[in-house]
Amino acid sequence: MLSRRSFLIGGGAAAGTAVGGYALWDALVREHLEDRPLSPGLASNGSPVPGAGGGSTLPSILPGTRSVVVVLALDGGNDALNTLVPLNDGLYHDYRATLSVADGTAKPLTGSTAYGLSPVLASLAPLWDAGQLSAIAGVGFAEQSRSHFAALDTWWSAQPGAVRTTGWLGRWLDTQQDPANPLTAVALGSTAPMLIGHQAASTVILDPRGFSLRAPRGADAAQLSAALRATAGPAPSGPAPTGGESLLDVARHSWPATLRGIETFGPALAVDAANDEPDGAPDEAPDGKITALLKSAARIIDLDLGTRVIVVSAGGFDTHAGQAEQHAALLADVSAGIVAFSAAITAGGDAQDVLLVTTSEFGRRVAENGDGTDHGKGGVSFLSGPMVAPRFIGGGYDLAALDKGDLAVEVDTRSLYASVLHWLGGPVDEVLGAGHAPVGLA
Amino acid sequence: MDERGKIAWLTRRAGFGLGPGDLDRLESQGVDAVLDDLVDPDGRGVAVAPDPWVGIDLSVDGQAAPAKKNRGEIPLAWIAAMASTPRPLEEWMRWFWHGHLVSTMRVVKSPALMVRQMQMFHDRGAGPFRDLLRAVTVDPAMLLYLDGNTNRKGAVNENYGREVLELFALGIGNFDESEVRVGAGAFTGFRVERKTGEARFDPRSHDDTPRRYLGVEGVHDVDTAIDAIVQHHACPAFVVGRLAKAILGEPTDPARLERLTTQFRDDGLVVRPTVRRLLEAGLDGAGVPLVWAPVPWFAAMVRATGAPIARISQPVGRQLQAAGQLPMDAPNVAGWPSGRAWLSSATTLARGAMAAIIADVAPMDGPALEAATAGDWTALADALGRPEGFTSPTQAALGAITASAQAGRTRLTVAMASPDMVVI
Repeated sequence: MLSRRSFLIGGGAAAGTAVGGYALWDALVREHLEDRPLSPGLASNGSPVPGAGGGSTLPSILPGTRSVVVVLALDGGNDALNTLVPLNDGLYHDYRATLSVADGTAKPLTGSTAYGLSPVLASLAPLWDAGQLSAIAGVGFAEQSRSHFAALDTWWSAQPGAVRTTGWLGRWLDTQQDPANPLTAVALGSTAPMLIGHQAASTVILDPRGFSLRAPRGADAAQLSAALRATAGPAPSGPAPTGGESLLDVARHSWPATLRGIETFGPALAVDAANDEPDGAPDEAPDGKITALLKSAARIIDLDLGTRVIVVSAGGFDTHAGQAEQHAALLADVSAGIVAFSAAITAGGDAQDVLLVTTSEFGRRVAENGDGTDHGKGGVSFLSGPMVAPRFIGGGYDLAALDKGDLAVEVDTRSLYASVLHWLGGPVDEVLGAGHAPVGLA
Repeated sequence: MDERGKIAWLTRRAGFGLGPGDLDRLESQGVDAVLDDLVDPDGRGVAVAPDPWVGIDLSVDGQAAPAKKNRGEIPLAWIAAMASTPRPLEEWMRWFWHGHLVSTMRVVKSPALMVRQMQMFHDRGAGPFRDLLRAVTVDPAMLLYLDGNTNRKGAVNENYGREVLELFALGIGNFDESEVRVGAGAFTGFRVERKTGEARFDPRSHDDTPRRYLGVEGVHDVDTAIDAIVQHHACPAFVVGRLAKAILGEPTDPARLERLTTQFRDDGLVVRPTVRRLLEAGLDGAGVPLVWAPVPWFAAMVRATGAPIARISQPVGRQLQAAGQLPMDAPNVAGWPSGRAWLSSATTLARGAMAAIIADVAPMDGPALEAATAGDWTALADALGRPEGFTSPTQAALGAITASAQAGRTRLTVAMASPDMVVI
């Protein structure tokens, strides 16, 4: 009756919230009892694709420092081929009669004759040249479904085909000392089901410009804040419940957790709102949505409050139609955002601690549909930060050997996740299950 | 639940709460009459509700360069209607179908076509599901939202063909990938005419090849495809499950759902009797608590306080966006999340802001603000549609707000934003 998705979208999104993922397990299991295996017949093969680390090294954070990961989640299924563009590949132009990036317009990447960046990503090329950008071409889940929502489930949980109840980063949070601390993990732009754990809590900031408490005019804001906190009843700041409590009990934790997030992050984010025009140039276009969120992420890292994981969500990548214009605008925002983020954390002295990765639930069909592209399989991820090396991870695209019309999966997404978890100091196997070798960062 | 509590429950689960004095009036009519009026307003002679968008410029001329000016106005006009309609269930059904058969202004870009779709949901929402699904399949806003507009023979776009099965009618696991493709082929040939905003069928761009679809032979066009979908065994249970979740909360007893599904099938998938049965089940105690989503919560708080919504529509539009639920702006084709998602810090904060905005403009002589100012928590809870009163933490929180110039409005804000008014 209730699909797996209805849980992950509903309850799942909930768990990526300040009130935490507690209490979800039982509800989930109940819902999943009637569930079927994921989209029967859709898995192309059952064997996981091994991670493609290729003998590279796995740098660890220096003892005494705190590693941070920013996951930029491109929601909708980012089109890999028009992001990291194959150069001089006739098949690419055959499949993409109207949408392909013309040879000669892609931004070449130093040292590569096979791939270039979409022209709207050109501002990322200096990061590559500075040794702070790498790319995985053909990343995805071997068991990928073309169903959007089954794919989202897998993307968030990293547990294809299984009864899943938690997000991969939520499970990592559960292994940390104080998983219910809503400052450890932050979701920016949207709730983030990746952050669902059994006890994990996080702070959700949809719009960084409005992250403060509003009181009626002339009212005493401190009195309002105290009263809202008091709606939790006695001991609002006690340990997070661990399951079985009523919706009302869960709701009672929402004001204390929300107020804690506001008091902590609100003032710093307000600075961004005031500086909406970067460099003080008054006629400069306002930041794109993704750029604004990434700048907020940098500011949160700069607060040094022990935030380890930030998931920045950006929507609109489901480009069935009107792809040319829509996709270019989104990528331009991604590009500007990553550049601004990198500059901000470098200026703040945090760059060496912070790994940024981009990910999406799937890639898109290789053949265009005339105006856009439909759901596909293999995608592309970028990794950015001083700890990475400018290189391509995995075997790359092979347009002569498609998997049912899609780019084949060359690197399992769990290997990307494993690298992230490794950077965070692990554990890896406990979160992802055994057998997912991390892709090397450098 | 006593009689008063039952009436309040009905207005929360199949409407948008109660206005000042409503509860006394409805209690004198009795719960059976209230249910009849709710479910069958035509038969009971309930005053007709005005169209929410009457008076707003919806000329289709705006389509080539979509009119941005009234995009913000349209969702708020709808909420104003929720907060004042004499026929709450009609508005509730429209809201339910909008959340289930999703299109968004962001993608459709035409206020006129979005409003036409909402008018269609109003007209067909309680009738046969087959007619509703047929209508939405070729609805101009839906054709634009899920790319039916560019779905043509030789360039099949699977977007609608997939979502109609997965999200609208059957649910995942009840079809396979090849059926997505076949269905998409049967739906080819429609496009939206720019000048009129009407859907036009062009036989030349339609693939009329008969194919096997969901176990039915000879499916070749929109009618045969829709018939195959609604005849599929999974369809009635899927629709009943969605309605049950919205009205009763979850989980719902599987045996009850099975009974309701059989009855829904026997009714020829007519929605109205199923809604009535679900409400009756709820009055019998089959409902469980659910989290009030931001839009119905806001409409109900406006209704309860008598706040003049026109004065606050701009700031509220922004806050609904921050809360994650602005009408016609669902995050994706699966619609809005439900349940605990609406307890997130983002939604909690925006709810608090909306409560403060409502409290700012609530009339002094409204029963809610009067009770808040007087410190009468029983009367305040009753005015907000909670005749059973507040729980003790909420009462204690309210009691700690000492008398001051704005104590009444601060208390009203806290009451509306408290867990007692969010988990209903």
